[in-house]
Amino acid sequence: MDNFVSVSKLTKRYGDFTAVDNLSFEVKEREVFGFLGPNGAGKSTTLHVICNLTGFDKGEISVGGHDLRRETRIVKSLIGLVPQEIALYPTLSAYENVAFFASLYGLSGRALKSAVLEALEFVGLSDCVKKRAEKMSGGMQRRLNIACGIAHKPKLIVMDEPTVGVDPQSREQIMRSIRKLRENGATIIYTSHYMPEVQEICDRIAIIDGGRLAASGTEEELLKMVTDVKTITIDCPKIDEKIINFIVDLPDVKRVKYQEKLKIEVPLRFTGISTILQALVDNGVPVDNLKTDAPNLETTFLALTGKELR
Amino acid sequence: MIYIIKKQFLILIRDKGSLFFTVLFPALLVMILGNMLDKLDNPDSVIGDINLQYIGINTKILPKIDGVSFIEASSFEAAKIAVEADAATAAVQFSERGIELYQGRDSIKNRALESVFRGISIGAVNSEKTFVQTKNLGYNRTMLDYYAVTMIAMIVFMGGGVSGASTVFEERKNGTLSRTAMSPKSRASLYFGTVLSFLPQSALQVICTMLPSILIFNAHYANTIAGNLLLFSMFFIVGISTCSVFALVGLFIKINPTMVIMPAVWALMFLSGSFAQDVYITGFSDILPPRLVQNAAFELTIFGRYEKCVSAIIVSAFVLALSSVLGAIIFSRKAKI
Ligand SMILES: Nc1ncnc2c1ncn2[C@@H]1O[C@H](COP(=O)(O)OP(=O)(O)O)[C@@H](O)[C@H]1O
Ligand SMILES: [Mg+2]
Repeated sequence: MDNFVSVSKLTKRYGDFTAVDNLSFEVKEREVFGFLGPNGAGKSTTLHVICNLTGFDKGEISVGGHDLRRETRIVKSLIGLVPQEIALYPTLSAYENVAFFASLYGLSGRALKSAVLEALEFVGLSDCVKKRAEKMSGGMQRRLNIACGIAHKPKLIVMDEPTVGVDPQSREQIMRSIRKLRENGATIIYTSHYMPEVQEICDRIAIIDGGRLAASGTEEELLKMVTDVKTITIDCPKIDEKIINFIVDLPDVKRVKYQEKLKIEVPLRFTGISTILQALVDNGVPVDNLKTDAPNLETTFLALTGKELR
Repeated sequence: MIYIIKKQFLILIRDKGSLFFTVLFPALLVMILGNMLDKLDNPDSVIGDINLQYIGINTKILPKIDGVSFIEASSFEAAKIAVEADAATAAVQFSERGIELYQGRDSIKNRALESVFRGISIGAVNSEKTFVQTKNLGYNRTMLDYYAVTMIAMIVFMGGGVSGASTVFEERKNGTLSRTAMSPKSRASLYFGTVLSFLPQSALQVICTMLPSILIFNAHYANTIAGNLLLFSMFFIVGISTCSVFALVGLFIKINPTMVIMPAVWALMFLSGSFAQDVYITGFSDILPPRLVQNAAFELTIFGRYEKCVSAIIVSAFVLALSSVLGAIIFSRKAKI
């Protein structure tokens, strides 16, 4: 897969404050790229630069092979933004809002109408085509906010925390539509500080903090960066040294110790759990409970940035 | 750009605030003023007798109006002295050039007088016919004519100022400004589209004042249809260029423009003597746009002279072009909007 977006050494300052600091990353075509970072990390600022909503001090950005500075208008026509803050005309209906923004991308007449209706259906707002934005619930406004960003079928969809403050139903609807958008061929940059979402839908993830890139890669790659070990904890009574030695000698097992429970450190891709259980059962050890503590993005994030996500 | 105009029109007719300024405020003002002036115009109790010293016209063709007495003076200078001494309400000189009116200190009588003279169709002093045709004009129902013009001028400046400045503010508040600006449409065309979308609003404002005042209160503006169209055109284009100028201002102010623009426009109107002659500052008030526009309108409605209206239209068109081009450039150049 080719790179659809390439950001290279991007620096953006507000006066003396550097909001984005020498940031580089690539987004591959047709992937959902997660942009993860605590509040104030510079996520929105980066996205605004890509969407040409604010200038930048240094760096190179290209979208779909077009340079942002030199071919601004082409780049703009490729992008649809779902901004972090809801951006709608309160007194216009759902249809009128979407239609206005879509018409700015050259859609008109029947093509416009069908694109608008499709976008509204996409986010599950087909029933409120005529409802004014101001009369909608927060979750519905969020979904309308998305519809306004995608109706013109952009190749690159940039979503800045699209699920902040939405009800579970709307969140589910939004997740579904993002998956559908990717199936339809869009490339998506997805920003969030909500871990499970990012884990759920992103192919690759960049973790940024203080305007800098802390790490990037697939979820698995990120997890490995911090540790490649997971711990299997088994609830059982104290066992013989003999059994412990047997487990230690199993391939891939790194460490075994007993502290009230049996704790076994193994690589992330360990496949011998059944062998261990078999050994315990064969020796008449009653097993009460078993759990694996794999590192997750949450702990990875903490390790990489020293911060908890909000 | 048509989609911007359409969108702005939808917003206009749905937003209570702008609808108020465009339709209700003018209509309301007409109602209140119309009713108030109807009462005020009782010739016996409020205005009192008007005592005119005149020169330069045949007595027989002067209109007969209750409460107005015409006394022929020996000279215009002598009539003026009588006015200074409060012996006469005003001195009038009829001549080929038109009518010269020298007013006294009673402002209510002065206003009534201006209405009277507007009624006598001043454009043709040397044509006796005109005087005959307008013989049953009374001053007791035409004070609205005087005020209506002031009122429209006020509405045009006030409405134009507020809506011009708040368009950008509202877009910024809604977050729709960035969303619009990130589209591939050039910033300049977006800005021009917005300025153009003031057209319907500006037209509505003037229509909503002129129509009810004519239909309900029998107000008179210019004497001919062409004159009225000219008057309408002037207010209309002054309205749009006011919108455009304040939209330019709105690009820079980050606070709610109603807070800033409203007092500013009120001050402007006051200083140009639109509400009361007392705040009139010679030399300064004369050059304020509301004053100039109002004067141009009076020239047309009272004296039938259209030159100033035409100049006002030309100047407004120029201001409109300049401010919108400037706005488009600034809007295009701004990195962060
Ligand atoms: N217009 C601005 N002027 C000054 N500082 C800003 C501006 N916009 C954002 N910042 C600062 O830049 C940093 C990054 O902000 P932002 O990109 O919004 O973070 P995120 O989206 O990751 O929460 C924050 O510290 C914020 O205060
Ligand atoms: Mg943000």
